[in-house]
Amino acid sequence: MLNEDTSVPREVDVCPAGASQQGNPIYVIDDDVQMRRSLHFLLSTAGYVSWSFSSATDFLDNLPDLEPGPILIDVRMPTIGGIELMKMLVDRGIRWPMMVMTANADIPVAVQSIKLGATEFLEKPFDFETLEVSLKAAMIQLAVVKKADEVRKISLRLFDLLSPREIEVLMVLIDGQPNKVAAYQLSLSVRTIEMHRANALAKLRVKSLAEVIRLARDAGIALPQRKLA
Amino acid sequence: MERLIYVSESNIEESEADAVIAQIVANSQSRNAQLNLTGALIFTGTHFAQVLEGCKKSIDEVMASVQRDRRHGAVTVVDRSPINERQFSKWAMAYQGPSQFVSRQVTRLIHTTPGAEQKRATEWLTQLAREFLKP
Repeated sequence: MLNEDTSVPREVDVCPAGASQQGNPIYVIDDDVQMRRSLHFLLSTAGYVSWSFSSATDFLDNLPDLEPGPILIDVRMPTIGGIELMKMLVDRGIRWPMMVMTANADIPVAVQSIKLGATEFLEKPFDFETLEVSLKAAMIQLAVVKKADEVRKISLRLFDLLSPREIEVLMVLIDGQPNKVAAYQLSLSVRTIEMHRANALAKLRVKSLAEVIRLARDAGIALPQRKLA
Repeated sequence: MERLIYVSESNIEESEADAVIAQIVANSQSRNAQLNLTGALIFTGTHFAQVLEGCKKSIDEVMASVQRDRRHGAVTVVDRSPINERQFSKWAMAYQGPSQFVSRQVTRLIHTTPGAEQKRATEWLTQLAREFLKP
């Protein structure tokens, strides 16, 4: 991770001016040092906190310690290119807004990056106003993502409390099977099914299977298609 | 055979956009198939851009209903030219989403002056739509 602003003492970066108003940091990944410097200068002048990385590897190495923030990615970089980096981020479940920059704008690359979820595709050189419009949209999107991630984390933590048996019973019931059929399928008594069901609902702090389904959706857990209305 | 490209401003509420667009796409798909029209639709949240390819009569018929449709306004026909072959094999939704990049390509069509520059913008948008529709 680089801080490109060499003229400013390092301590300033610990508590950057305007950080509290602007909130999330912006990550710049570009092998071109001039581009990193100029973006860092423009972003900090506009009151944003920005961190630069000279390669995809450098960014990925630091990723576990980074706060969520919009990512500005250059397309053409040695070793791991921008598109490849986006794929890796998507695979890792990173849903922070991604914006792509390139000097050689061609349609296939633009479409590929948009399909990968890039919110913006900037043709270098671009003016800072264009970038700022996209950054504002990206910050709004980031807030939505952060909230959804938070909800997912809380919901997942609840599901972690369930025993494998309770999960099994819930899955069969959500599948639309009556207790009797569930009991038969799992070779349990109806009473045991009812007990597991009640315990599971209590642990998940919900009162109905419909709420379990909603919670599972929040947690990003795949459920069998429910056959009952 | 002709190709027409128009850009229009959406009157659709953001909260209803997904449902309304899904309906538009379903209706257009069956109607355009009947009229033997091919092409693509792009929706950026604020604007529509549509490419239509087919015979003059079919295009006229669709454009008459486009002009009547209250879900969008300020319909600007950017280009209408004779063509020898189609660039699209069917009619489909090419892109619907928040990309500022796509949005700029669409608004660029209405803000460029007619002539070579607009022709280029038109070509670029057509290629963009084609690329989105590639599997």
